[in-house]
Amino acid sequence: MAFATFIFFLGLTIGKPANPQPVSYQPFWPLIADGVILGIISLFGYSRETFTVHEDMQVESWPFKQVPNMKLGIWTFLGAEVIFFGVLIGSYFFVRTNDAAWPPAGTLFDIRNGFAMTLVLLTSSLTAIMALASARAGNRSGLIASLGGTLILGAAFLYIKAGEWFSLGGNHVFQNYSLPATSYFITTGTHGVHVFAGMCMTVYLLANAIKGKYVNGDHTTLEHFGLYWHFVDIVWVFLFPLFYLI
Amino acid sequence: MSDVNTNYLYLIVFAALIGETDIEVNLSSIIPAYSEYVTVLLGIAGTKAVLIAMFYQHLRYEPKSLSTWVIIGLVIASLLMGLSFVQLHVGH
Repeated sequence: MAFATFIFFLGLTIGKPANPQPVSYQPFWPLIADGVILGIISLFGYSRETFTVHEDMQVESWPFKQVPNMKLGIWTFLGAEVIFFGVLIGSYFFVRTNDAAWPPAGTLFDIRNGFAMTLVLLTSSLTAIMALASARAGNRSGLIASLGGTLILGAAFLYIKAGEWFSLGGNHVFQNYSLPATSYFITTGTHGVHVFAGMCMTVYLLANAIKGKYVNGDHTTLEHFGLYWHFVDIVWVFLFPLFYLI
Repeated sequence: MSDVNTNYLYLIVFAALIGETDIEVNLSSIIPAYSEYVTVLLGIAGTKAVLIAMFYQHLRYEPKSLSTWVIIGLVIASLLMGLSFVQLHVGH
């Protein structure tokens, strides 16, 4: 997955200027396509991985005996995601500290939008954890309501985000603030894709919950989903001050 | 801990997260100096992330080996972010 991401960004960086005046940029599309295809194949393979191995009699000491393999796999995936977003945020810092013309807080990205999205995403984290609590308590209606709430709040987040994107695009933000805009669209766009992926998972969980799953002690899938959804929330907790308040 | 107590805990964490977000939005009027403002702002964001990881992702209740595993990821991410600053200093 990391290699696919590397190929994708390599395709973005090794392109060449398509037009000197006005300056436009032509990425190397074949590498980008390779990166996307590799990424999809990797994600598909990851989804089919059971994280089960047949251990030999003589093995080294394993520090994660008390942690189920699937949960360890999810945390490892999230660790890779931490590094991925760390790189994006690192590049933001680099661009930010090198760009003398970065607009003051609140002038380019509306703080009210950022605040609203933060409230929506934090609330969706609460509904996600309440879904798990409901499943543990065997409360099917509570589970369905909580998952439904998570889905609606995720959609609300993307709705506000899309409004902001179109508004910025309409104001020709790339012409006046190319570096802040590029940094903003790449970082929040990547985060938005993660939110959308989480919503797809929520739809799957909701359909299963309606069929009566997860309330009979089989709630580990919900727990794993929660780990991912809360991680997406944590990423936004940092993106909000970085883009809207500083 | 019983289910009811756990649910209260989730609500308390949620209230803390909302409260911290409110402080973040109004922080510029409390701390006018830019560098201190940024430091405190990112510190608040860090405490919000810790709250979510500890209580919503249940890291507080997981074995120490798993917490260490997560911290390793955070250290690598921090190093990567730190590299951009190193590059800044080298460049100048």
